[in-house]
Amino acid sequence: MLFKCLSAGAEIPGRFPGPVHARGKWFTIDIHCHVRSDKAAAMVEGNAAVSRWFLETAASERSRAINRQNGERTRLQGSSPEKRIEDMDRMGIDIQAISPAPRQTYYGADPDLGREAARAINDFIAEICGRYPDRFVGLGTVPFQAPELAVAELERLRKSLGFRGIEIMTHVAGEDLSAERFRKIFARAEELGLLVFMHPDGFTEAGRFVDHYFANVIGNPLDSTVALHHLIFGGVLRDHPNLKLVVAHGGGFLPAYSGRIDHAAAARPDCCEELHRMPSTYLKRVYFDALVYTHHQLDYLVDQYGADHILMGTDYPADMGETDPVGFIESTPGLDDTERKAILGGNAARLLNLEVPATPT
Amino acid sequence: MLFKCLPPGAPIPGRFPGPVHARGKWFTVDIHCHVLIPKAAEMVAGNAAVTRHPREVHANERTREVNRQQAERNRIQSTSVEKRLEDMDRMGIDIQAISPSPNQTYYGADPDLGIATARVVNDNLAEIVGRHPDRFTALGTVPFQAPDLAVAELDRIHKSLGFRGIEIATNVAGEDLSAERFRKIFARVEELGMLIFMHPTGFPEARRFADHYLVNVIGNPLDSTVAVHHLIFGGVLHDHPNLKLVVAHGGGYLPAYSGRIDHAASARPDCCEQIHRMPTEYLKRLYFDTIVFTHHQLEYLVDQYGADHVLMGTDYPADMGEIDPIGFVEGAGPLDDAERRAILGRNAARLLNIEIPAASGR
Repeated sequence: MLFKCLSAGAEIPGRFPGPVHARGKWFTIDIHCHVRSDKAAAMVEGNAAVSRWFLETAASERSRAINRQNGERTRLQGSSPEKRIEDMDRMGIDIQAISPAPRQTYYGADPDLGREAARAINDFIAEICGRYPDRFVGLGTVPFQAPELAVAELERLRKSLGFRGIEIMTHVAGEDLSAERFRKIFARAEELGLLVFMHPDGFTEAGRFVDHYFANVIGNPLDSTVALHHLIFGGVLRDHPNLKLVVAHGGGFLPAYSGRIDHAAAARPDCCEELHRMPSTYLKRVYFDALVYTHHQLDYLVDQYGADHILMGTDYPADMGETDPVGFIESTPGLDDTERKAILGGNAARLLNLEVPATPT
Repeated sequence: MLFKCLPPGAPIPGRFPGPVHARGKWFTVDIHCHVLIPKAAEMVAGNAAVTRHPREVHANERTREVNRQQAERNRIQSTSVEKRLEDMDRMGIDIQAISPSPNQTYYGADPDLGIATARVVNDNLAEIVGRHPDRFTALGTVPFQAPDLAVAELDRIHKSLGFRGIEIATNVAGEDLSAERFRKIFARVEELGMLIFMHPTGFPEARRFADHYLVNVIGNPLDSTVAVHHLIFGGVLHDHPNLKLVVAHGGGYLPAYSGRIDHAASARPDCCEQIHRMPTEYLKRLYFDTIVFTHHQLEYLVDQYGADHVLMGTDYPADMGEIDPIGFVEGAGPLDDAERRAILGRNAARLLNIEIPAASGR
């Protein structure tokens, strides 16, 4: 048997689409779901520096084989809007805020290739949103490795394509997001009121994460954790208080383990050199998706950060995704319906400037 | 001003001893506190391979400077038993389960030096306990890098020195604890019924943690996180169900973020090759100390793992320590007194086979 941990006959999680939920009960937006652009993939084909991907390079051969199988199984879901809408209808999702498959951010590309790939992806996303404007909203990508070009692409995707946000990675080909040269990108995203959805792509130093799929199991929440620390302690969140930052997978480890940063900042002068408030003050400005799999952790996040800071997400169509996002939030015992409404769609609508339908259908 | 985050006049945390608590209200055992053994440090002085420590290697110059100041400030607390007792009396600690300073596990030493330093460390701990048997119990160290010698030293500290537990680090000079060659150590510890207190030594590949003291702020909980994952997914906890494993700093990140391991184990066949139950079943067998700094996380740990799985700790005398461990547990609102009693001392007494004094009200 493949799954030794599962009891015999138990359902295998992470295979989309999940159970049926009728649309209309709630207004629902999925903040965490990915599309794959075949055209952009073709542009970087064979370019090892660009297609290097820590979730792959750090993984065992067994994990890579399973990744390939998953890639095959989800290919249609990754690329066909029609299949996607069919799944959304089944799962009760009104709108997907579609972002590129994280590896398609291609921050390892040289500036020109980076810009060209980003444009191809953004045009692909815009095309999907244009065809089904009531079902999709776009989170684009910009070439962070080339900040001037990134700012120009930000303008274009906001003004010409009408995007309400972007997806960013948790590091830029190994460079942390607090580097001075990236500031202009954050400044412009803040000015334009764009939502920034931050998604990890595995940890850069993953020598000990080869087995047991740790490249993802640990690597993904870890890289978000490291990025959040740099954004806080490097002063980015201090200087950009209106940044609308949503961090994937419940924000990684830090929101669940936040006492240490305040203690360190108050006990160690080497820790808080660039801050003027307790680090958790900045953490509380950040938004998190609901992809934590357990009701008790979702409850905890709501208690600590407020229901207005949690956004429903699926990670569609990945196998680490939540296939029953509506059921997960409906059945979380500590929440009331106002909170459920906020998490399921109200918060995303507010941050993305989407109108909530008077009578959801 | 040095501390830009602190409001003016606010007390600086992490400077022992903390506020006064009279002994006697609770029976209290500190599971997480360290002793520096200068004699062992002399044995490795100048030996770069042995003293190499990720928290220092990757830290920026400012952090190294603060570390030096810290070491100066708490040198007496690290080494003087009398000063330690004075601080314990003030803070209301009945018993410290003293373990070596994590740097002093010296897993990077060759086998001969490793066993020699371990013996010196253990003999020094035994000497402290022998002088004040009602105030200290010892968690020794064994040279993990040389498993046969480690097993022999385990036998010695248990039988000749009367130790009830050991401290282990979260990796063995970069090698993960699930490696086959370490199994005999875990097997012997389990047979002897000893407690294992696992303490991180920073994350070895800490290039991105150089600034803001992230070498410790992230590196320490992270290395515990990686170690616990390896112990679970590598089958160590599966094969040694009676291991009494206490993980420092609330166990690192995993106990606070446990949903992902079960999802992965059931969604990915490459994840659960060596275990036969959901990974959280193994996680729930572990014990965690209280050094998480917030009541809400302490309460979450108690809710998820039970008050019988959480043990009071201070990290004395380090600046990342909890200087008011009793006040912290007393102040956690939803706990009842039976839970507080368990966390403050009874769990440690049970796991260490310490007899609780018959005095009333405890």
